[in-house]
Amino acid sequence: MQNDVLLDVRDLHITLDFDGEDIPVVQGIDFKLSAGKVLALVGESGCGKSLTSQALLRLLPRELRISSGQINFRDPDTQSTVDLASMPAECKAIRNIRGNHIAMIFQEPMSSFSLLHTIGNQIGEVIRLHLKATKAEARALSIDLLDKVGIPDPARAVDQFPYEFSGGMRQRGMIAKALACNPSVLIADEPTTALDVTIQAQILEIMRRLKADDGMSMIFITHDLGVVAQIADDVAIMYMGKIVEKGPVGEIFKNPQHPYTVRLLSAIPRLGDLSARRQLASIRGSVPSLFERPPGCAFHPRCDSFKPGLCDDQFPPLTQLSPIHEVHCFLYQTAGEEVAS
Amino acid sequence: MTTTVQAIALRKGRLRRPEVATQWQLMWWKYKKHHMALVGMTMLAVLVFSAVFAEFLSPVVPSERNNKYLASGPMGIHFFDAEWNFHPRPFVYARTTKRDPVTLRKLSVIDETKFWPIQFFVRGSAYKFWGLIDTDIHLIAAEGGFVHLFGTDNLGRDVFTRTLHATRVSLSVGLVGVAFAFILGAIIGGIAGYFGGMIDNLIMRLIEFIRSVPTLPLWLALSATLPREWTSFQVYLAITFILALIGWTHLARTVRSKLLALREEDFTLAARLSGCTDMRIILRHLLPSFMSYMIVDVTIAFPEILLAETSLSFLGLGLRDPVESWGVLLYAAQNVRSIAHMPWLLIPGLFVVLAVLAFNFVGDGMRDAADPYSK
Amino acid sequence: MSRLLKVTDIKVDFPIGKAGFFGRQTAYVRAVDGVSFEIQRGETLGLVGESGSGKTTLGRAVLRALEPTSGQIVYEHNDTSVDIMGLDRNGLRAMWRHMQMIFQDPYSSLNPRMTVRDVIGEPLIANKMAKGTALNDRVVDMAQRCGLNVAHLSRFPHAFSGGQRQRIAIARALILHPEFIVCDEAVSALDVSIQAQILNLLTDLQVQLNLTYLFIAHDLAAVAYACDRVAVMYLGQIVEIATTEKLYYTPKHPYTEALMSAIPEADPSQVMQPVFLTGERPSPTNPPDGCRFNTRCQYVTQICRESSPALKEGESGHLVACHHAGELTLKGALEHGASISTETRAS
Repeated sequence: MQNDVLLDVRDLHITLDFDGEDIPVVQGIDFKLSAGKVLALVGESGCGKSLTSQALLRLLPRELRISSGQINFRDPDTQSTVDLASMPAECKAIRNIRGNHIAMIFQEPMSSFSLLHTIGNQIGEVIRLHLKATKAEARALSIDLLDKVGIPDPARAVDQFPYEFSGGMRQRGMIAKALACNPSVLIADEPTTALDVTIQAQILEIMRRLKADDGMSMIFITHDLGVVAQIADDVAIMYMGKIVEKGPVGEIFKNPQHPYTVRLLSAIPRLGDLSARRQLASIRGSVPSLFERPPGCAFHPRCDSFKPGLCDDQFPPLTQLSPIHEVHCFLYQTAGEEVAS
Repeated sequence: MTTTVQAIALRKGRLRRPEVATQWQLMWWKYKKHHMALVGMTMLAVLVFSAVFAEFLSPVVPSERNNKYLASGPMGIHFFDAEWNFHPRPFVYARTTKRDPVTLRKLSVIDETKFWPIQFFVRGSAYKFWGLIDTDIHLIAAEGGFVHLFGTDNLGRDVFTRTLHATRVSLSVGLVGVAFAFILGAIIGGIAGYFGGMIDNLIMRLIEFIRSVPTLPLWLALSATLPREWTSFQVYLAITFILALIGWTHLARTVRSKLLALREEDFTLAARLSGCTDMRIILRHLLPSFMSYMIVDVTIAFPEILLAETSLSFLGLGLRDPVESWGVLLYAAQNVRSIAHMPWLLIPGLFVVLAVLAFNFVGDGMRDAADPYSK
Repeated sequence: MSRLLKVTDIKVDFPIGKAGFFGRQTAYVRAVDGVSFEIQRGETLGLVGESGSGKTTLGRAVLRALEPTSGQIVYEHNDTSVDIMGLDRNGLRAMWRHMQMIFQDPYSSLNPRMTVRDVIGEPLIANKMAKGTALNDRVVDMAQRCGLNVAHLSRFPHAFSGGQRQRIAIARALILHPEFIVCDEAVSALDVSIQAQILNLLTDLQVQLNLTYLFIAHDLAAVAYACDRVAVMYLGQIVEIATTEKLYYTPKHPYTEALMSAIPEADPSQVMQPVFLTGERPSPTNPPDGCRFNTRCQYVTQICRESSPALKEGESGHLVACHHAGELTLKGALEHGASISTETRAS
C-alpha cells in the first residue's frame, strides 16, 4: 500500500442472507482513501453506501456479511497494514480500531447519543477506553473537544444531557466524540442530511477546518451533490451496490461520463438557472428492489444509451479514462479505450 | 436504518405476490412463521372440535351412571395383550365387580382374559345433538362392556364425557364474555380516543379505578349477589356479564391509544380533506387500522376470562349444575379424599391448562403478525 | 393575475405542557404569530424556513385543516369572496373540493389498507360526485396524467416506491379538480432523480389544470426552481417576501442572507462562504423581545431589541420586516468569493 493511502478497499462484496438465500448487496467495489483527503461516496437510497461504511468498521447488521474482499487499513501504531475484512467482526484488533483509529458519525443526532448519560460521560467513555485516561483527564479532554467543535461554554456543556441540546449542537457533540482519540480516518454517514441548511453550513465548516488544519482524512457518505461539491476531494458514484464512476470532484462535476452521473447532475435544481426555469432532467423509472436486480449493468433499464445484448449481459469492466478518472460503462469499452462523448 | 435494511425487513413480511396482498394475507403469512403459534392454533382447533362434537365423541351421556365402575380410574386402550399378542382391533380389558371383603365396597377388577374390543360409530345412549337433533350415534364404545378413558367419579359418571361437554361450556363462556368485553371496550375506548379532552379524562380515571380494585373479591361479591332461584342459564349469562364488566378495561385502553395515535396520521388528515365525514373516517380508515390490535387483545382476554370463570366455579360461586364447565367439574375434586383416591378427577384442570397455553401461543403469533406494515 | 387567496394576521397556538387536573390548558406555544400574505391565481408561492419556523403549521392553517387561533382567510371562488374562517363544517368540507394538500411522507399519507384505485377515488365517493364506471374512468384518467401504470391500480400502496406513492397522493389531491394545492414538503423525502420527476410533474400539471401552489420546502434549490415568489419564515413570522430572483440574488433581510449563503451549490469551483449566525435559534415558547432575529443578527442595533419590525413593502413587490431594510447591502446566493479558485480545491 502506498505511503499516503490510509484505507485501501479491494473488491468488497457484501451479501445478505435472506432465509438461506444469498443475495448480493454490494458487489465488488474498490476505492482508496489518501491521507488528508475527503472521499465522497454518493448515491441514492438503496445503493449500499451506508452499508459499505458500516462494513469498514465491521458493524453490519446480523443478516449481512462481508462475503469477500479486503479492507486494508494502515494501523498508525504499528505502521503496518491490516486487512479488517479478514478478522472476526468482534475481535480485539477491530475493537481497538473502532473509535480509536477509525471513528464514525451518523445521520441522526437525536438517536446517536444515549439519553441517560451526560455528553461528557459519553465522550469520556471513549477516551478512558482507548487512551486509558483517568476520569479527570478525560473530562478535561472532553471540554477541549467540545470547545474545538464550537460548543459554547464547554465547561458547562460537558455536564449536560443530550436532550438539552439542539440538533446542530448534538451533531457537534458527535463530532467531538469521534475526534476524542485523534483518529486517522473519520467516516461520516450522511452527517448533515437531517439538519437545517444554516446548521449544515456550520457543520461543513467544522469538517473543512478539520481537513485543512488537522489533515483529517474522511469518507463522506451522502446523496446531496451540493454538499459533495463543497467538501469532497474525490468522488465515487454508487448505483445498486457498484461504483459506476470515480474521480476527483472537479473532473466528475465538469466532465461526467457515466450516463447515471450525467443524469444525476442534470436532475438537481441549480441556483444559476433561476431565470431559465428549465425542465429538470429526471431519470425515468426508479431504483429496482434489491431482490429484483437487473442482469449485467443494473442501470440499463433506465439508461438512454442502453445497448441490448451488451449492457444486460454483464457488468462493464473498468475503463481508465485518465489516470484519475475511472468509469464502468460499455460506452467507453469499444475495442481499445476510446472515450466516447 | 439504511434503506437496504428497511427493504429487507419489509420483504421478510411478504413472500408471494406482495403487491396484491391484502392486510389479512400479509398477517397470515407473518403469523405462519411463528411455529408455536401454529401449534397453539392446532390445539385450539382440537378443543373447539371436541366442544362442537362433544356428544358424538363421548361414549355415553354425562348423566349416565355406571354402577359397575364406580370411582375407578382410566381404562387403557391396548393393542397388545398380556402375552404380547397383537390385536389389530384395539380393546379394553374386561372389568368384573367384586366386593371387597374388608370394607364391603364394590371394586372393579381387571380380567385380563376377556377383551372388550372398541367399536366405532356405535349406537348408544340417546341424546339431542346441540339440543336440536335426536340421535344416538357415538364415536366409540366397547363391545360387550364399557370404556372410560378418564375414569369415573364416585357416582359412576364418565369423566371423559363430562370433560368434553364441559369444554363446550367453558369455551362458550369465554367467547360470550370476550364478545361482551369487546363491544363494551371498543365503544368506551372509541369515545375516549376520538373525542379526547374531558371525556377522555373521565373515562381514563374510571378505568383506573376499576383496575385498582382486586378482582377476585369483586367477582366473589358480585356472584354472591346472584339470587339462588335463578335458572342455570340466567346464572350463565350473569357470570359472563360480570367477567366482561371487569375485562373491558384493557381493550378500551388499547382502542383509545390507537385512536389517539391514528388521529394524527397524515392519511387521516388527507381523508378529512377529501371530504370524508367523521363516521366514514372511523369506519373506513381508523377501524381497519387497529382491528388487528383488537384481535390480539381478544386472544389475550380469552384465557383471562376462562381462568376467571374456572376459578369462580371451582369456588362454588360461578356456574352450577347442570351447566357444567371445567371449573364446576373441579369443584367436585376439591377435597383431599378425591385427590388421594380419584386423581383422574383433576383431568379437566389439564384441559384448562391446555386451553390457556393454546391461547397464549396464538396470542404471541398474533401480536407479531398484528402489524404487517411495521418494520 | 387576479388574487386567489388573502391571509391576514393568522395566529396558531398549540397547547404545551401538562394539562390541569380537569384538562384545562395553561401554557401555549405560538407556532404562527401574525402572518399575512396573498397568493395570485396561477402562481407558485414558495414558503421556506428552518425547523421551528412554523411553515408546515401555516400551510395547514391556510386550509383550515388545522384550526387557527385567530386571523382571516379569504378565498376568491367564482367571483365571490369566501371567508374560510366563518364556514361551518359542511361549508368547509365543500370548500375543500377546491383546496387540497400533498403531504411530505409518501409512506404515511396513503392508507395502507386500501387499494390505489380506492385511495384515488375516495374524494369522489366521499363527496358523492361519481360512482361505478364513471368513477373508475375518472380515476384512470387522473392516474395516467400522474404517470401511474393503470394496470397496477388494484395493488396496495406498499407495492410502490416512494416516488410512485407521491404520484398516487398527487392524483388523489387532484381528482376533484381543485384550484389551490398546498405542497407540504412534497418532494423532500424523495431521491434526487425522483424529486426531479415529481417537480416536473407538478409544473406540468400546473399548466394543464390551472393550478395555484403554496410550495412549502426546506430545500432552497428546489424552491428556486419551482416558485415564482418566495416567503421566508423565521420563528413564526414572515420576514421577507419577494420574487425568486430578487430574494435569492438581492435579499433584504439578514436571515435570508444567511440562508442563501448557506446553500451548497453543486459546483466545486464555487466555494461557499456562508454568513454564519451567532447563537442558537430561540425556543418558540420564549421568543425574544423586539425583532425575533435580533439575538443572532450581525447588524443588530438598539431599536432591533426594542421593537418588532412590521412587514413593509420596500420596492414594488418586495416586502421585508427589518428596521434596517434598504440600508444594508447583503450577499445573495452564488456570491461565493470572487475568484473561481481552482487552486484552493486541491485535487
